Amino acid sequence: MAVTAGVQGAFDTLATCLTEAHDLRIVALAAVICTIGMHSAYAIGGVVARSPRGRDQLLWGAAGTLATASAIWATHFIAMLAYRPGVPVAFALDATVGSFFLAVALVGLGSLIAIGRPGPGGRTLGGIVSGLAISAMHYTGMAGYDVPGTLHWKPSWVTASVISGVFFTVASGHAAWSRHRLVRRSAGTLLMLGVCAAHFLGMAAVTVTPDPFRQIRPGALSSETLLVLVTNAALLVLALALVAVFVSVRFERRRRAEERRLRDFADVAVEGLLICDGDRIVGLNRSLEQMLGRSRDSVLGRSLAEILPGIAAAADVPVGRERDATVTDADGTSIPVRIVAQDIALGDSAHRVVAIRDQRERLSAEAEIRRLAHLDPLTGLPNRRSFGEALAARLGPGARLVGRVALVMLDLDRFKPINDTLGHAMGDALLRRVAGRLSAALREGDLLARLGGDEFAVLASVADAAEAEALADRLIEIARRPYVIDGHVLEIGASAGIALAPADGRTPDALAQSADIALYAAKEAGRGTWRLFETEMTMRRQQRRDLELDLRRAVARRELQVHYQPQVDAATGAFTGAEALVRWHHAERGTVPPSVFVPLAEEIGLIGEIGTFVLRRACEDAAQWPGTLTVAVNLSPLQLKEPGLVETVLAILGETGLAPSRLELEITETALLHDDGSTIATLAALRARGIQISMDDFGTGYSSLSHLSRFPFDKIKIDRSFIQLAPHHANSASIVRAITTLGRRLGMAVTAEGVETEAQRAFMLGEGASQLQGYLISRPVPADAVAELFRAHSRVETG
Amino acid sequence: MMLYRLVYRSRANLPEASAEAEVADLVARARAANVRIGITGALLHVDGQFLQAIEGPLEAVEALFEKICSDLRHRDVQLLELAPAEERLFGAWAMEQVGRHEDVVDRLPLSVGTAATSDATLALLRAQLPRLQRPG
Repeated sequence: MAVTAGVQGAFDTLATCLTEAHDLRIVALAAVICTIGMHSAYAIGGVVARSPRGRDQLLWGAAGTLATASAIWATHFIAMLAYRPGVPVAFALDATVGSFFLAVALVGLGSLIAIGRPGPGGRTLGGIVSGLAISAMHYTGMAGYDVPGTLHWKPSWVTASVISGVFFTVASGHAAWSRHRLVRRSAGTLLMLGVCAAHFLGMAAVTVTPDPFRQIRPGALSSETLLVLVTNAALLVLALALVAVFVSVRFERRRRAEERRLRDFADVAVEGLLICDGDRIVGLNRSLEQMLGRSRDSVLGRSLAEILPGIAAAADVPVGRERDATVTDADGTSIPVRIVAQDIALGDSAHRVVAIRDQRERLSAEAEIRRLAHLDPLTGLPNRRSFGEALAARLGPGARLVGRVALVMLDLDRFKPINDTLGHAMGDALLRRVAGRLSAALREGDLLARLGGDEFAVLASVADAAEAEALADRLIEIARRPYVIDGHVLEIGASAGIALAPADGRTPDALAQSADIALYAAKEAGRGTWRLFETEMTMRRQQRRDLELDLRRAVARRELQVHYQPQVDAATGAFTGAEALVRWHHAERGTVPPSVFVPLAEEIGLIGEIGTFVLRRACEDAAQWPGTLTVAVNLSPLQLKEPGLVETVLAILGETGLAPSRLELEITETALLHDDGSTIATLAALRARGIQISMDDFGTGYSSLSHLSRFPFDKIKIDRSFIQLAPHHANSASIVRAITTLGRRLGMAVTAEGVETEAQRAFMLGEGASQLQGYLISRPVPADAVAELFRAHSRVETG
Repeated sequence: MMLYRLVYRSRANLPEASAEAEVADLVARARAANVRIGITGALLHVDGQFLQAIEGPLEAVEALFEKICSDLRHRDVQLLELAPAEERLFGAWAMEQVGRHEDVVDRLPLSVGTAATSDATLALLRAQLPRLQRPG
């Protein structure tokens, strides 16, 4: 209560002081001058801040100080003229003029402190000094206040006056630097309040007691003289204010134009741009507005960290070197960006421009590239690379094997002919269908990939081998079903090899190799089926590889030999020629039978080379034989398909000098299977040159009488299996009889192969075979032996 | 648009207990879809096998057959015939399930070359169509 009463009393005192001791009209004038002065003080302050450092700034600073000090001084003395203590008053010249210069000095010092030490500390200290300037001026002025009486001071009011002056000035200084426009605008008013509060509280502190014995000192300024001085000071304030406003408007206009030009430039930029003054955002372009989904006004004034989380200050953005960051848009979504900064001079101070490049498009393009790198574009399945990664993830170091991992390698059977004959577009369409079907045969969690060409693979978790086998069964069965594409019906099959980790391989490479070996075994077993990897397969594969290597070496070194099995006329027993048979004697393996190495040579593409070698050697040898003895050479189906066979044969005949009529080429029925006419044409071309063409091994394999009707063979050779059974086995005898009859009717000679006994010879003779070949006549013998045999016989005949 | 007809047979890969219900459900679903894509035909499910004739535009026939061939409820799908057709043999049926077991079990065509089997299959399917609804 006491406090309230005290405050109430203070207000009453102040009110009484203002209303009863002052002429309120003049007080109002003082307030107007003060208001103009304080606002112009800040207007000039703004000009100072924008002026380049140096003389201009110093001059404007001086003008501002002068305006402020003048306004404080003028306000004080106008207010003093309004003060009517009820006695005549005068003003001592020294104190009156001195108080003006004191105000100038202290205001100047305060401003220097505030400008010299940017930041809240400097502003506070400068504010205190400037606030003290008000009180110092006031009480110095009051020291020259001359009345016929005594001045009594109340210390508490004096203290309040000083403190309020300082308080409002400090507050004004801080307000001038505020982010908020309204607060900034209030700086002048706050300063005005400081001046008024200091003055009127100071006036309320004083009581004049008339003293008839005191005289006003001579030389003191009268109120009238003071009025002239004060009016001049007020005019100075007004003039400075006008100049300040004028200059500041020009500054503002230039700043606006510069800002607009900059913004136009910035808005053209594709990248987002932020302009920072310290850490405060003072500008941004349209691209950034769009990126953030926020309006310019909602971003301006925020701190950089609000837009770029993780970037604490503008100084953290590297100049000239990009770094990754994220910005947060209006919805709170984080957008990946790259940022780079550049310092630019904007107006008169350095600003930092932060360029922000949206990375979403680039990142999604990169993700797309990564996706494409991992997917087979034709089928959309994972490709070899991503399958390898998945396999590595399941088997790699650190991966925990739960149960077993099955790797199923799958190759399509008869895919290549479809691709070759119906075109790649059809092949591609078929592969897409296959991919769809195989996918349908998977279980949850199985991974299907296309490794390339017609190779697929499945990675699956299985409890046991049976589960993997069931999977392979499903895959093969579903792939084997017919395909209808663009009205074509396509039939293909699939073979699969299964390997189980960890038993068949602990590393991706080892497991894949095992599955490949199993797949190879499935193909060897006739395709259309699966094989589970077995350790022996590796051994067999290795053996086959070794054999393959040895065969290649033997062919390259021409280590194959040609032996000859003589043939005789069935009726006379005279030699008619011999069949050339290829032999391979290996230093360690011993003699490798043709039934082993010929299929291998066909598979690895060596058969052409071997065939040509045998043909050349046979022609060379036969050229040394007497008379018209013929040599028979086997042609493999693959050789018949090779272009240029006719030219090769003719060239060899030319080189060796063997007459074409002495060469007999033997083909099997297999060569005519699936013939599109080209094999028949080749045979016809050879026969046209006088070379004889025989049908070998007749009666086995794909025997079809239609083969005999398609080409006029010179000779049919009955397979040894019939001869060996013939005399006693009724069915075989009938077949032999049928063939010899057929040959006779068609005008084809008939040769019996594999004649080993006298009984067989007699039987064949009886059935009308024209030629015999077999152990009974001679085993196959080396070239020089057969040549010797033929020469000896020829001597006997001619001698 | 050229009309095609496709005939196939396959083994049913369905648990015996629920096979009948599942096939009936399958046919019901197929019917609605078939109307949209212009497919007509008939399906016989008996003795653990399917015999089906499908007719319609080539594209639709191909797509449907591919769906069948991607379905593990069939096994050993054997295509008996795919040929252009002059007219629909099952014009009124978006997919009719025909044939009671005892009616047809002894008359199932044996595999005697695909063309002959196809003809026999078509004849059997036609004969089993509901008599009252047969057009003409």
